[in-house]
Amino acid sequence: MRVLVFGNSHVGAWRDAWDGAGQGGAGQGGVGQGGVGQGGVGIDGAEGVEMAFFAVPEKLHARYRLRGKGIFAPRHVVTEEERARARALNGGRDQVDLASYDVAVHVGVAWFPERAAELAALGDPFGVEFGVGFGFGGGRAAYGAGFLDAALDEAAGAVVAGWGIDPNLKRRPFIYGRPVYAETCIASQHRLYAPWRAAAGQPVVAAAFLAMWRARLERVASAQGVRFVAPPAGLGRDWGPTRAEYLVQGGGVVVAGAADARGDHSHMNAAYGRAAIGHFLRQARARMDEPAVPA
Amino acid sequence: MSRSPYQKLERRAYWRTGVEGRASFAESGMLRPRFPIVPEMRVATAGSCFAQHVGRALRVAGVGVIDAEPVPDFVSDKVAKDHGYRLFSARHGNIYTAAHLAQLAREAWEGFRPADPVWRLGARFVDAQRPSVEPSGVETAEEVLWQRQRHLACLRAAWEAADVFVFTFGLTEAFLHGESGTVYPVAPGVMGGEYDPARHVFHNYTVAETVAAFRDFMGVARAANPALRFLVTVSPVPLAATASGAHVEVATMRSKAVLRAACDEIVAEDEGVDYFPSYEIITSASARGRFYAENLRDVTEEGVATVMSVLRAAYGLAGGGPAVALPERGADTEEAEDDLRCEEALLGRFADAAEAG
Repeated sequence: MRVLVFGNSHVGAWRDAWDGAGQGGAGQGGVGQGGVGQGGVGIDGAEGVEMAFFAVPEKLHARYRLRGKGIFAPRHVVTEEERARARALNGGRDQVDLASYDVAVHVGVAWFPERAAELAALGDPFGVEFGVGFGFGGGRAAYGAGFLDAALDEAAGAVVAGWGIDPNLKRRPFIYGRPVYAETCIASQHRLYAPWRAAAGQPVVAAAFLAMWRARLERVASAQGVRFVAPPAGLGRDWGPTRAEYLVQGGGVVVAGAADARGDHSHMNAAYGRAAIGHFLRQARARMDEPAVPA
Repeated sequence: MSRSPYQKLERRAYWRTGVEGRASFAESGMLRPRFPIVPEMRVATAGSCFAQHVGRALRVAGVGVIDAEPVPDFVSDKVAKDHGYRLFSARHGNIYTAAHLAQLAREAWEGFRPADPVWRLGARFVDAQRPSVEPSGVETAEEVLWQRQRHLACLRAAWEAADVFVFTFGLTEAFLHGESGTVYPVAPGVMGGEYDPARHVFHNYTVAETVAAFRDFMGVARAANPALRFLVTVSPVPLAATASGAHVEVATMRSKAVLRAACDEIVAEDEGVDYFPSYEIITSASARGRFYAENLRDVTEEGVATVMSVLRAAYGLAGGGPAVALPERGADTEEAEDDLRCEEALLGRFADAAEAG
C-alpha cells in the first residue's frame, strides 16, 4: 500500500518515526525531506506499506490548496522563492498528486479540541460528576443534551467547512488532526492556551467533552464525505493535552519571566509519530471502504 | 400674572416644551436616575423579552452585566439563545409576572418547591418553570431536575453578586397550579405539559397583587444581598393573546396600566428602586406609532435604540448620544428582533384556531 502523508510541519513527527529517528530517544521534528520512505520498522501495521511525505511550513501550507483533481499545489499568490523552498524540502517537488498513491492523509489539520476545553471551563454535561471547584460565585452552568447537540453540530460544521475541501474533489484524503498541545502549555500564560489552563481544573468534565467532540467531528465530517481521524486519546491526558514526553526536543519550554510567551507546545517527536502512524494505518484499513466522496 | 405652582417649572414639565418641542428623547430628561449605574457595577437582568434589549444595551455600554450560566464564545447566539443562554443573567427564560419572579426567589433561597415541576413534551421532558430553555426537551425527568438545581445555584450567585437588578414587567396574566398556587411562566400546553381546567387556573393580577409580589421578591433578594437596588420598567410589547375574556387590545391596556401603576407604588415607597420609562417612550404620541413594527406589536429597532439611548444618556454610559441600533454577536440589526426569545409570542399561534367572538 502506497501512502502519501502530506501537510504542514506536523508531518515531521511522522517522517522521523518512519525513518526510525529517535528510536530510544527524541527526534528533531520539523518538516522532513520528500520522497518515498522505506522505513516504518517497528511500527504497528507498517508491513507492506510504502510511505511518501510532502510537507511545507504552516505559513506556506495555508496558501496551498487541494485542487479538485487531487493535486496539492501552491495557490497563485505563492512566490517563486516560496516554491523553491517547498522544492528544497520535498525532493524537488512543490506539489504532489494524490492519485499516485493508494491512500493519502492530510496531517496537522486544525480540529479545535479546544472546543471541549472551552465547554469544560464553564459548565458540565448531564451524567458527569460536578466539575471540580465552582464557576461564577458557586455555580457552574448545566449543559443539556439538546444544547450540546446543537452547539457541537454547529461548531463541527464550521471546523469541517474551514478545511476548505473542494466540493469537486472526487478522491479525498483522510484528514488527520494536529496534535493537542502538550501539557507543558499549562505553564504558559499565553492566551492561546487559556482553554487548556481552564480545563486543567476540570479534568473529568473536559475528558467527557473531548470524547463528545471527537465523535461529533468524525460524524459531521463523515456526513460530508470526509474521513477525519483525531490523534489517539492514549497519547494525552484524559482531559486533552498530549503528554510532555512526546514533545519534540526543545519544545515545551516556558522561559521564566516570559511565561506569556507562546513557545512550542505543539510539535511532537518520533515516538508520537510512531503512535500516530500506527493509529492512522488501523483507521485507514478499517475505513478504506467508507465513502470518501461528497454525499 | 398671579402666582401659580406651574410657574418656573422645568421645560420637561410642559407638554409643549417637553414633548412637542423636544429635540430628542435622550436629552429630554425623561429619566433622572435615583442612583448611578456605572461600568464598574454588576447588573443582573430579568423579565419579559423586552428586558433582553436592556441587558444588551447595558453590555454594549460597558456595564458588567452578569452572565452566571455562560456558554463559550464559539457558540453562536442563535444556538445559545435557543437554549436560554445569553438572554438574562441566569438561564431562567422570560419572567413575565412579578408573582413568578417572587416565586423563583423563594425557590432559590427559601426552599419553595413548585408543583408539577416537570412537564412532558411528547416522549421527552421540560422544566415547567422555564420550558423554553430546552426547546426539544430532554430524555429524562431526572435531567430536568438536575439542570434546575444547577440553575438555581447559578441564579443565587448572580443575584447575590449584583449591585443593580433590572426587571421588566411584562404581563399580569398567568396560569397557576390551582391547588398549590404555583405560578407557571407560560400556560400548560403551550411549550409542554397539558392544560387541565380541573388543575390549572387562570389569574389576572391586580395592582395590589403585583406590588405585593414585587415587594416579596425584593425582601427575599435583599435578605441575600442587602445592598441590591432595582431598576424596573414596563414592557411596551402588547399581549400576544389574552385568556381574560376581554378583547386583546383592551386586555393589553388593562395589563400595562396595572403594571405601570404597580411600578409607581413600588418606586414611591422605596428609595432603592427606580423606574425607567421604556413603556412611555415607545407608546409616546410623539413617536406617531413608528416605534411599532407592521404587526403593531413588535418594537422596531429604532424604538429599541431610542429607549436605550435614553438609558445610556441618563446614566452617562458610553454611546449615550443619538439613538443607535445595537449590534449583537453574529446578528445584524435587521435580525435583532428575531434575536429575542419570547415565549408569550407563541400564544399567537393559537389565533388560527380561534372561535369567532
